[in-house]
Amino acid sequence: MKKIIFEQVSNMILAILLACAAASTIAGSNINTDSSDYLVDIHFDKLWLVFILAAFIFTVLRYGYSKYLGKHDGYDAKNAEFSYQDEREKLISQHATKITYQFMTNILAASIIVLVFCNALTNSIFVLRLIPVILIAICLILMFFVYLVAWIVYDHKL
Amino acid sequence: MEVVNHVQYYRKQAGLTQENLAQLVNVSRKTINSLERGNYTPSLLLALQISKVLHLEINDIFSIEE
Repeated sequence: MKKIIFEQVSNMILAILLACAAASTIAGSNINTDSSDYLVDIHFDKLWLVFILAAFIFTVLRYGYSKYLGKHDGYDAKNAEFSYQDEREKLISQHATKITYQFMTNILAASIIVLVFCNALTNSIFVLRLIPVILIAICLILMFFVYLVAWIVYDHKL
Repeated sequence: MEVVNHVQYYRKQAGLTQENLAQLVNVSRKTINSLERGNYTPSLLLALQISKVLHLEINDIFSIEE
């Protein structure tokens, strides 16, 4: 179970950092479609550096975890959250994936509805540009969280 | 139909702990514990491995209850 907690928590942290970096780029960028010269000024914030640094650190940690701490736990850096020690854990992983898939189909459908209403409720280009990033980030984080919870629940059940 | 097993009984008779049996059949101790409690039905491969380690026929350890 420790390997799944380790993997999913690091995935969630990376997803949050990626969303923050993307949001900062959207907030800082300037796109001017009014003038005859189509002006696009994309601004990359320091948060991208933080995200890249965090991704590098987690890659090293994953490698270290697979070589030392997670070695007896069946953790494999390539398979990540789908790592399993034996057939029972493989079954748990399959159940958790199924639950996550079912959850994601609903949450993505709900996201489309949210996007439709956002378009109807605001005229702000800035907000409209930001909302898809926030929605996708929420979906991604929820997906990691649901997989983690489903894995823990099935681990106790089976 | 339900698969019932007598792994715990035969494991104790063989003088093995859950950890010992788990190591012999290459699974986690938790899997053996779950199997003994009847929460988990093992694959045919694991069932055969357990019966081989305990020097018994598969039918002695696992049976179907209707």
